Amino acid sequence: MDVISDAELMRRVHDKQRFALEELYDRYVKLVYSFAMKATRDEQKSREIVQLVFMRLWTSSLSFDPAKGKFVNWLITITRNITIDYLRIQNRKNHLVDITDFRAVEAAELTEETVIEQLQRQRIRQACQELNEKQAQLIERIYWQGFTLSEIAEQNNEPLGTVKSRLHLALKILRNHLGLAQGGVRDVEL
Amino acid sequence: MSNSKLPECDLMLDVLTGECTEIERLQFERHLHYCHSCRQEWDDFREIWEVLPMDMDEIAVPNDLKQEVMSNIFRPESVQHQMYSNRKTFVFTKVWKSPIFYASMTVVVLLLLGAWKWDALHAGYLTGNRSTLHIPMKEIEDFPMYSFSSNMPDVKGNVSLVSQGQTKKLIITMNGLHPTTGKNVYQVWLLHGDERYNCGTFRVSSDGRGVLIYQLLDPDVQIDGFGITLEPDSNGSKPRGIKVAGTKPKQV
Ligand SMILES: [Zn+2]
Repeated sequence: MDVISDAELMRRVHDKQRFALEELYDRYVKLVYSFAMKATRDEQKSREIVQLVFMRLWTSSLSFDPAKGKFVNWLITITRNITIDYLRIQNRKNHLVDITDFRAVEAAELTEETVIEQLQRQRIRQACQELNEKQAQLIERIYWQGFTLSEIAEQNNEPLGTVKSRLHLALKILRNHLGLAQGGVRDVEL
Repeated sequence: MSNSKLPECDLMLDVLTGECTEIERLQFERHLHYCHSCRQEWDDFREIWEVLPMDMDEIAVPNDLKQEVMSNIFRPESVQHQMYSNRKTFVFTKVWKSPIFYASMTVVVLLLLGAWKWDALHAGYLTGNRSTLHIPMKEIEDFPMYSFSSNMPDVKGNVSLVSQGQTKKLIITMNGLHPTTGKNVYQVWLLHGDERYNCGTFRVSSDGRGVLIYQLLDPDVQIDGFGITLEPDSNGSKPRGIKVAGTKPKQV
């Protein structure tokens, strides 16, 4: 039996075929949920984000164009947008999410990932470890919590330029440790 | 990294994080053609941005979540049409009763407006007192929205006036809008005579859709129609930008 591609499933979601949405859920809920947990560190909020993401897939006329990239990246973009919208509401109230324990989220069992995915994951994690606290915090705020550079400058009471240089430096560190700079690949123990 | 920098080089991070205007983005794209150092960094940084989500732990999903999500989407009687519709029936009216749906919509609401109900609703939700979210909504009137700008001819949508208990809310669903960039937002205005009342702002991503729920401060306000403008930021109390959508003027 052939496996139905993600793009085909998404097309069937458009045609309002329920099984297609359920199949996409089964394939990707872990990704969406893990993303939400990483960003919010809260089970209830993550559940709501999952609800919003799949609701969005079902009800909106979003169309996925396989020519423009992988489904998983497209879904991550949607998830990130929804998560950021969600967090922005909260940040408006709470000013800042407490980020001190953002690594405290429990790692769960690895599922059937390909070796390549594991390698890549390993690499990005190691690269992230190379950032100092301020740099890691900055990536955390921008990528995961969706703050803008100017908002962060304001929060930190720093000039925008300082924040920008920090991000620039952080990206360069990640690049070097991801082996992108000279095209080399670092050794990775699995 | 000791090469001479141009002003456009500074745009890279704004473009990467999506904090730029459409013009700045195009400006930077042009700049990439002749700035070698930016081009090199840009490709790498883009790639990093794409793999960043890999820096997350895989978390086991609660087993009951699928049932919850699906039953909120597929209520037995829920209408299987597209969410936005010009007709009186609106798919939302069929899914009102779900607490999670409310909670989810609360989130959408809060994103887009200033959220004074959030505390009560959310506190109730988190403490398990979900019944506060069960107040039924009734649809009172629909206002179909039409394009007002030749720039965005495909804009259409609907503003639904609903009541919930003592309050009245607007549910605005729009399609065919250009995505917002930078600080730009779409702002909804309630028209009454010559007055224009702010009814909140929303952003639009590449799907061209916008959804906003807004609670009317004065439930008895007279409504002549609605307009939507594209604004430079979300701080305006009067329309400043171009009108992109609105209700058809009433025949006198
Ligand atoms: Zn440059």
